[in-house]
Amino acid sequence: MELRQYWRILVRRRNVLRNTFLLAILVALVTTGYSSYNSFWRAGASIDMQVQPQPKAVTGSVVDPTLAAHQSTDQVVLAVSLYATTKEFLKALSVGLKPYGYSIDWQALGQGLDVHTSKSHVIDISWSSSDEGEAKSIVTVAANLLLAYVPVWQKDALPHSPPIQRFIFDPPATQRLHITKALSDFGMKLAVGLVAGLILVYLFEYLDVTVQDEADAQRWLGYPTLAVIPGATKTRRTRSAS
Amino acid sequence: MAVIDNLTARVSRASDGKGSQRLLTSPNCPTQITEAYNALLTNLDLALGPNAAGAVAVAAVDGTADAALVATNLAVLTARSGDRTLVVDCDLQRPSLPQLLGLNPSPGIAQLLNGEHTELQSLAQPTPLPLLGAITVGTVGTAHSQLARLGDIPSAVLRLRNVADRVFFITAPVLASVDLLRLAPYVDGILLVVTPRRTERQAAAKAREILTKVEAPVLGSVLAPQ
Repeated sequence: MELRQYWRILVRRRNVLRNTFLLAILVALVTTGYSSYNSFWRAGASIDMQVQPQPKAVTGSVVDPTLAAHQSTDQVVLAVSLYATTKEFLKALSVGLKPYGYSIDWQALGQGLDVHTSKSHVIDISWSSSDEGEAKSIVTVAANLLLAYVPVWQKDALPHSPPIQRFIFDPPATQRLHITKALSDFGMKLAVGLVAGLILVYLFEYLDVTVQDEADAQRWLGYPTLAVIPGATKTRRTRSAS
Repeated sequence: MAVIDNLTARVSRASDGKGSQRLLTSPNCPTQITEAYNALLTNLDLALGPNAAGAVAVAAVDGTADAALVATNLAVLTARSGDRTLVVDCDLQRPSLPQLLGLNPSPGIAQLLNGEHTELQSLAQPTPLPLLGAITVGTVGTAHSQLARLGDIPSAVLRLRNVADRVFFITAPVLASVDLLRLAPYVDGILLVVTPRRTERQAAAKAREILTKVEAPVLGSVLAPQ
């Protein structure tokens, strides 16, 4: 298909494109506005955990102590990340927030709390909210709970492992979300809407088995198209009565 | 004058349907439609070449298009330009000329073909335009679903061509009947009517195949909304 034909299809089905784009604008306005309102403040904390390598004389093992320490660190980070998704942790978090004056359901906490590993030994915790104090409290309690879990897990899983040197190098802090993020989200949603519109246009064209226009008639009928009579309902100018 | 007014009133009454605004005799017909039909007539004459003043069969590709409206509007234009014009409804399956122009359904082309009515002057019914005559399908028995079974097509076409400068035949859709194929050898050209977003591409391809096989003198197509 020639480039001109692609353009012709776009012109012919411009209504589909326009309507999809308008719908995308509406959805983007609503969702971006809602999420910007609810996520005006973002609190974040990072926990760095590393197992100290032990001298070979102490372990008496043939395994490289540094490698062993890295492997142990990975296990700890994985265990803590998994723990952060458990019902037990979320319920403990919900209870831990009550002294701060916040009563949040553990399921809502599970949906909103973002815990992920940014490096192999760093766990990032974040929470977005319209309330700065709430965001900071949640992240603080969550970080403390995870830190408290580390020795408990280590005692069970790695009883002979050296203690974990742990510290929060980025204490819970809040930041006001900038307008550019909301704008970039909005722009991204519009772009998605435009792409969806284009996909719909060509999907409709693919599924439509009828003759669409002059070029289409000429192609399928094999004879020249002598004229195109406009539809009576689409015309605006009318003849004056004679 | 009173006769013309009476005929115009009949046409207006008959044209209250969906095609009313697109009939060129209607005062509400948009200018764009008139311009489009003028362009169609010009291109049709160019395609006909030296036989510009001849007989043209207008047929829809399938049942979705309205050939009667296109043929009638072309006939109106040629009559306005001073040619003695006849529009003949040969669509036995869906006669629409009586409704479109407010005519009596009978007598019509069926009576001319079977010899019941031989007087052309009285067969052609008057229209609001003095130079435009219209012949309806007439009374067709249930057994006769094809034009050829009604009588001698070549002589009837010849007689019609002798009394008018231009003759527009409205025939049944290409894929619905063989009437167009029977009529094709005796006309100067065939105009196919396609309805955008209704006529299927496969139907168009099938019509092309049929018309190519019989070497029908197809001049081109027109895209006309239903």
